[in-house]
Amino acid sequence: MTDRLRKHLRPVGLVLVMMGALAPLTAQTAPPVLTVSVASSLADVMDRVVTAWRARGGGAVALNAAGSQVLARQIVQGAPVDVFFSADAAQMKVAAASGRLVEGSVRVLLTNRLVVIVPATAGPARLRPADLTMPRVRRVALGQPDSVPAGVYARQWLEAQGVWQGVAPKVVPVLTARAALAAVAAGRADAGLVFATDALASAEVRVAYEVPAAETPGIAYPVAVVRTARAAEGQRFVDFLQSAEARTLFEAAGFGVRTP
Amino acid sequence: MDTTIWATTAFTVLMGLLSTLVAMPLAMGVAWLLARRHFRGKPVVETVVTLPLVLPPVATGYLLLQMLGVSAPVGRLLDAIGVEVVFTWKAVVLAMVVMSLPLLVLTLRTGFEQIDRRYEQVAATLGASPWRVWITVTLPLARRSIVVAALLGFARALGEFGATIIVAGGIPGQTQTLAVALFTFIESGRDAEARDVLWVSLALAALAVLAAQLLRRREGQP
Amino acid sequence: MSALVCEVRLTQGRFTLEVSLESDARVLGLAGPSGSGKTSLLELLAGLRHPEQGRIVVAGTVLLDTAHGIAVPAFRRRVGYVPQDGALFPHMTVQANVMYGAAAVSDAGAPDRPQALPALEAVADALDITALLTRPVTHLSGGERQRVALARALMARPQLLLLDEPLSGVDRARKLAILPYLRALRDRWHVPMVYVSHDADELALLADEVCLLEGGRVTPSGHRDSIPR
Repeated sequence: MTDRLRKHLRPVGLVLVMMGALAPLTAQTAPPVLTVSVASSLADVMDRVVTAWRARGGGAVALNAAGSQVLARQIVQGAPVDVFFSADAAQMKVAAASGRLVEGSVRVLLTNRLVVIVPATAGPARLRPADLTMPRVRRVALGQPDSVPAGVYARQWLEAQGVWQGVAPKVVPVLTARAALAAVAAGRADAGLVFATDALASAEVRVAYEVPAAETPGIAYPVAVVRTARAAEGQRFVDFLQSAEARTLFEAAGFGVRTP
Repeated sequence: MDTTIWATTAFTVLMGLLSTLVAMPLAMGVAWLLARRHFRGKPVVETVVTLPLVLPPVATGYLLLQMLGVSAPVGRLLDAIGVEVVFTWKAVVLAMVVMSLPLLVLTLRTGFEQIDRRYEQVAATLGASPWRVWITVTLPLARRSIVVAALLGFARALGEFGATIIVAGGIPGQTQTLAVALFTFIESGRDAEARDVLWVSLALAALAVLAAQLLRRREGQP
Repeated sequence: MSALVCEVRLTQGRFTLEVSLESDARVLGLAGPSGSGKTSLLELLAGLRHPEQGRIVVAGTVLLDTAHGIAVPAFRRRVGYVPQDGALFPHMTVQANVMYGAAAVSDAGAPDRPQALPALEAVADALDITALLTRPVTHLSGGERQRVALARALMARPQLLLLDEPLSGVDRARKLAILPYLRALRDRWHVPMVYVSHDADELALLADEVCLLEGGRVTPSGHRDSIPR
């Protein structure tokens, strides 16, 4: 082989060696593995639940975290998902309408509460719903009010309180709870509306108001098994989610657990 | 400002033009420095400039939001002079500038490096100050790269989404760009509106590419 | 005081240029094999490069003195430089090229010159480029390019003109045609020159004094007749 050719092949060879070295390191496991779609707000706690599941001898699990609306759409379009854990009953309905869920497998597992957050250092001690319409509250961060579940719930609650008209012009619509937390932590949104569980994730925000259980719109986290080849394993996983061990983990993260 | 699709389009194009106008001089200065000068800390500058290209756009958005927070130095400075950036149109421009800068610097740097140094050297010996050399020799010879860079940067700015939505918020009627609107409509199932935005975005992209082609053909020989 | 004093030391990788020369010649020839540092020396004189240590004085003006921290930037040295292929600005017409240095000269701070500012017409006439003035630079022959390059350098009123093998790559007939113009530079416009060339004939015809540069070192060979042919 000529020298010139060799010179050109050397960088190609280097890349191939790198790929060979990296491949075994990637955590991508080959199927069969249980694919579990979880809403973003469940991602952290489900990491811990899966660890407990594995410790108990459970099989490999791949968590697919995104907004519930994204996950529902994926299932409708035929994505190879085995279990769907949604943050929103409406999105579960969307998934169910596709006909891909195992009959009767939908179960409401968790509940959550809405809270009003403010910057930890600068915010007021307490902020009631009516206060949100005050001029000193210039911007309120909450999820997209017509797609992100947290945003949908927030809007429902504000409407029920009769303050939505006053708050709507100040809304900064965000895609995830993280974005809402970041906006409030930076002090650029004077208040935000997120789930109680999300508020725990940041030390730079403080809860200024907890929406009482009576007023909270029905924030339910339903879970269902999708009709795939791994449905049996999926059902076993869902059963584990209702175990005492899983319950402890959920409650520690701030969720309410529905007893069956 | 009402939220019809044309208003959003006009807003997006205006922000794109503004951001290109702001980013180009900055990019030209940085690109020239990197192309012609050696200085300590050059690798650091190169890394920082390339960062928005490598980081996920959303990550860059979070970084910007943090830097502009009320307790951060930059944020405090802006508050002191009464300039509001986050969740305003200025944040849209900022996101577009930051995200298109690496592309601009890369293209311009290559363009400058391709200019034979002897032209600049001879110009100096003819008595031209560095600034005069820059204006009368370097920039005219880099003309093509400059135009290509500006078009690329503009196109990138128009499509910018990740950083924009974090630091500008995508507030309908205030900071919502076409890219953000498209995503929002898809997410909330407003398919008809999503389709409209998609067509407009495609048309804009096609226009940008057409403009680039026309300019290239007009350039002809160097 | 000599017209040109140059004592420099420049190291680049494994190559060291160490030159010490003084000359009053109207045209100082610089000969030597390729790679001996001729172009580097010209760049140092023009101010396009800086040596680790050195001293350069042209017509009594100190352009560089590393010991005293003096380093006049290239654009203020009034040292013209004509590189090997002329390096005419491709985006300008011939006239724009020729006039490029003239504009900078008319501002304050230019040292007094004994002769008058050469007018464009005179220079164009002397170098026979009047007919070329409106042409774009890309439509010139090799010989025409060289003449335009000379005109351009001349219009900037240099105190010293550096010519890097201006006639290499030009055929013999052309060379003989251009030499008179170079002589005009020397005799009519009185522009001191440092003239780099391989060609002993050119040096014989133009240079008063010749220096040999070999491996970065100068052996002043004095009178032009002593160059090996």
